[in-house]
Amino acid sequence: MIQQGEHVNVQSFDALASGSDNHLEPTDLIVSTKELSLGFGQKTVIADIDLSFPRGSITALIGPSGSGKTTFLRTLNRMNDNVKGFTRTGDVLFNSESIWSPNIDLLALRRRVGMLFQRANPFPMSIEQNVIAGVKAHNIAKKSQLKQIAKMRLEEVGLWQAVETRLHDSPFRLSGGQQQLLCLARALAIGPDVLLLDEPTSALDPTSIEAVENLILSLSPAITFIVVTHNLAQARRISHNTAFFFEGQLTEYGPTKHIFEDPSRPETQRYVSGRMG
Amino acid sequence: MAQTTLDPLNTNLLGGTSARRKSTAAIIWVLASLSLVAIVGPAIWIIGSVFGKMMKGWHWSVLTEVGAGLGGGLLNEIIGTLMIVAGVAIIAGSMGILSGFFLSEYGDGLLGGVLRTASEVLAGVPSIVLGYVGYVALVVHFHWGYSLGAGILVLTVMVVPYIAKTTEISLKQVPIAYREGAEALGMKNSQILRRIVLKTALPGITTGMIIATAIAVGETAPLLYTAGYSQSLPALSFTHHPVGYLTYAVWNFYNQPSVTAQQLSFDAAGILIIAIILLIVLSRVIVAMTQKHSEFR
Repeated sequence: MIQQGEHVNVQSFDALASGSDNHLEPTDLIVSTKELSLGFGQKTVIADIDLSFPRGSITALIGPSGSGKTTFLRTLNRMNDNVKGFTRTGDVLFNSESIWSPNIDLLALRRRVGMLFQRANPFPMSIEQNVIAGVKAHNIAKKSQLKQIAKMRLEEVGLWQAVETRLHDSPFRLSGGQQQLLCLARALAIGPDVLLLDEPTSALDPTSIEAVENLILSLSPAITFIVVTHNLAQARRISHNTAFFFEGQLTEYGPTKHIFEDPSRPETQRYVSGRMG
Repeated sequence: MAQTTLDPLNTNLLGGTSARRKSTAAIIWVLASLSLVAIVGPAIWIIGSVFGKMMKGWHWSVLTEVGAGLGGGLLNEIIGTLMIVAGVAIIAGSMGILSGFFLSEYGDGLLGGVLRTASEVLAGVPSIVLGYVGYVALVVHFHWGYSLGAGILVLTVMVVPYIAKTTEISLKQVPIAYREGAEALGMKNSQILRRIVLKTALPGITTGMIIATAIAVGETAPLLYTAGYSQSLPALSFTHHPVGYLTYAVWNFYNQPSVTAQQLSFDAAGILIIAIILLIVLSRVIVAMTQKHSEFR
């Protein structure tokens, strides 16, 4: 497994995490949240989250179930907007602009900020059509280029050899791991800057997990990753920074090494050492 | 019994229990087979006897000539049925599918509840009552007379609830993960609907349409009140011209003391059965063609 910091300059992340982000240009932060509180109906799920994600970094969001990680993650590309009873105060900035600003086109935002879900969710169309579904929807390539794009993205995620002869088959005949890689290829095909991953490997076998993790590492720093995971070893393996959510609060945020080896807060200590959760 | 089957030691070691299990299995197998025979038997018997009687005195002129008293052909009834069914498929189809879409996407509130209940009540109204209402309202009050329009509208009211219900259910069964995946890709709502949701829901919607069309093909009572009957070819007019249809021929000619008339009755019945079988085949073909990549195949 690849060492932390091989791809990106971890030092700047460390500086950011320790709170002294003054010397970082704002453009170094691709996504940041300002006093973000989220809830459904009367219930507040998370409160007052100020979190910044440096461009090119891999950030793990960890914490017990129900701590608000997924709600937080889904808000970053406005997937919660249409959920019944969803309430929000505070803001999320993408490249220094509010994602709810009238200047921001929701569909264009989602093209820049993609998402991968816990359960692989290929569309009911052929494998090839799955990869280019987003490309076609955004009309970002000529018809004659689509096949080439599909091939390129499938190669990128390491699926090409396995599906080369069955591009027109149903994606549901692929294994769970292959389906998730297909969804990743589909997300990559529209060229996102940020990928939000919601427990992307929790339903996969160890070999597939390794494939997905290696991909994440190789795609960074071109793509910024924000990963919700319950797999603490995974957070340690792949992330530069880790945010620990606990009971609707951002309890601690910092470089992954620091969070796992020398956390400042007792809750974090109990969680990462396996005495809680 | 339940206790012994739950205990693996008993069932495996005691011969008596095993024998009981075998006899239970045999009884269930026999009952299941009998049920199958009870369904398939009458179907084959009806189809066989109708086709048998149809073939015995079959003349191809039945398909090319209009009716003439107790003889002639069934061309006027065939065209009439086709026109009625086409009208119902278009009007009831669009109304039903749009209502089902509304109920599935926006039907959680009060309006949705009212619409759903009204639709269920409507589905329970006997067809002859709908026919009579159609007669009073359309034929008499609006002065449409016995006509294609009156027949189509009454059948439409009859089958819209089926189409709406099946459409609603099929749309609701589209996995939320598909929609979320498409939303996360930044697809427009119209694209999500067209490329993913409708495609997934199509087998259900098609089934609803086929059931509705089959009901329209096979209905008699409401048409007696509204479409009337005519032995000439249907006019291209929604009002004031009565229309012939096959179910009327089945019922009317069978009661006539004439061999040629009774032959026409069986011919009409045979053509109806063929039409229904074709509809079923058509729906299977549509489903097979669109569901090649389905998760639930």
